Amino acid sequence: MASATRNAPARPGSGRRARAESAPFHGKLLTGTGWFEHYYHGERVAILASGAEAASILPEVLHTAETVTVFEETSTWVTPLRVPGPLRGLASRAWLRLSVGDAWTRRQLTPNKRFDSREVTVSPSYYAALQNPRTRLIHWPAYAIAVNGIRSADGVEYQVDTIIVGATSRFAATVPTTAKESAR
Amino acid sequence: MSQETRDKLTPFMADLVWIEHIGARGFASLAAKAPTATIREIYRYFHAEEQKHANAELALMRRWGMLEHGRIPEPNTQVKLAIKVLDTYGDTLPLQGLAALIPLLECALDGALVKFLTDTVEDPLCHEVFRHINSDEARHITVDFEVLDYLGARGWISSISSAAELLDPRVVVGLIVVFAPLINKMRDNIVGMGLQEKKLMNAVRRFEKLGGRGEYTARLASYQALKVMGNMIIDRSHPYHRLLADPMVKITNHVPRFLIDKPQSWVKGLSPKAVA
Repeated sequence: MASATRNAPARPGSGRRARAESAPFHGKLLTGTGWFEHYYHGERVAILASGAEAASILPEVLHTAETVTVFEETSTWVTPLRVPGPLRGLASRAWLRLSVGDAWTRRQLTPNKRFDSREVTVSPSYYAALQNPRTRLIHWPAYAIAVNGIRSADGVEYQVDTIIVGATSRFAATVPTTAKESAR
Repeated sequence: MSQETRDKLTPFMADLVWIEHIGARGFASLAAKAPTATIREIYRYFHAEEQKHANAELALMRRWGMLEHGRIPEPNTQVKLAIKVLDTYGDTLPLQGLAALIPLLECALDGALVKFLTDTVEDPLCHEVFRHINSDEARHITVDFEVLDYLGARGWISSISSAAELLDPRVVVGLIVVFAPLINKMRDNIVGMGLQEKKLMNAVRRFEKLGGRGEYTARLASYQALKVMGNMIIDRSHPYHRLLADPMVKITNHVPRFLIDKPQSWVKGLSPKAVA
């Protein structure tokens, strides 16, 4: 197997799987930094992003949104404060163990030793926001953006009013430009 | 559907839902140990798809009026034991053991149980649902055997060292205390309901046949061991049942509740609803 595929899974015709469906999404689709300028009062929001991005988006959005569904595409290590290099790994493990009580959720949030990035994101409120009763963490891959929300690999359609697509999300390249414009 | 069929099918469907749900958890464990990033990604999808099957079967139960007040059926003791073992050791068990066990279960589910259900029930929606489930399972089985072949192709030294890993007491005890009674109870229930033993035999033959196609699969000790075990399970006159499986079913029926309570939260992930 080629060395390039060791850390990044091969995906047939990248984006063919993760495509926006022909009928466009009814609600608002926010890309890039669009999420920062939007007001979420009373909205049901979905976040399609890598763990590192979700860590900065989720706590902000949760202030005003009614419910937030997080599709975490890859997990990331998190520390509440900036920690010097050699202690980072230990600190992020300890922080995860201390902040997330449920063993299964902790398992979802633990990056894979071999395949996931070892970078550490600084976010004091990510784990607390994830455990808020208004937040749902979905650990299966999202299949497609449907008319009313996001369809994920477990066959369930998560209906939402607004979708935030992170800049490094698998969906970032395939979101139609009209939707990008509608976010402005 | 007549009341009689409904009463007869309810425990069977409940078992089927839970076996799929455990299968989903099995794929989650496989994803954690996958040999390459691509296989890991595939297993992540399979994990979700098994959960989808469990949910779809639960939705069928709801449609047939088998859920009392919309309550999700309680798993039996053997299923609870399997959940406990997966929660505790699932992520540390040797890869080739789990990678060989899951296709055996899928061959049995796909080939025998689901066929039995579609032969017994005349609901057109049920046939449609299981047509989709079967096409997913076919994909799962293909990938499972490809992975076995891939693991076998790593060479003899790897095969021997990973065979030694299978002697891990957790694997041996897991097979005897959890797998044997779980499968035997299910097997006897379904044969009691009228499934011909020949169909079960076909399922194990299929496991052998598909494994036989891989060039290197035969090198895997776990595959060979499960092949032998599969043959023992389908032959009711084999001393395996008299000496091991039947007594284990009786013993595990009396496992104290405090040992198997408090499962992890994935167990509550079942829902018959398609929209969330």
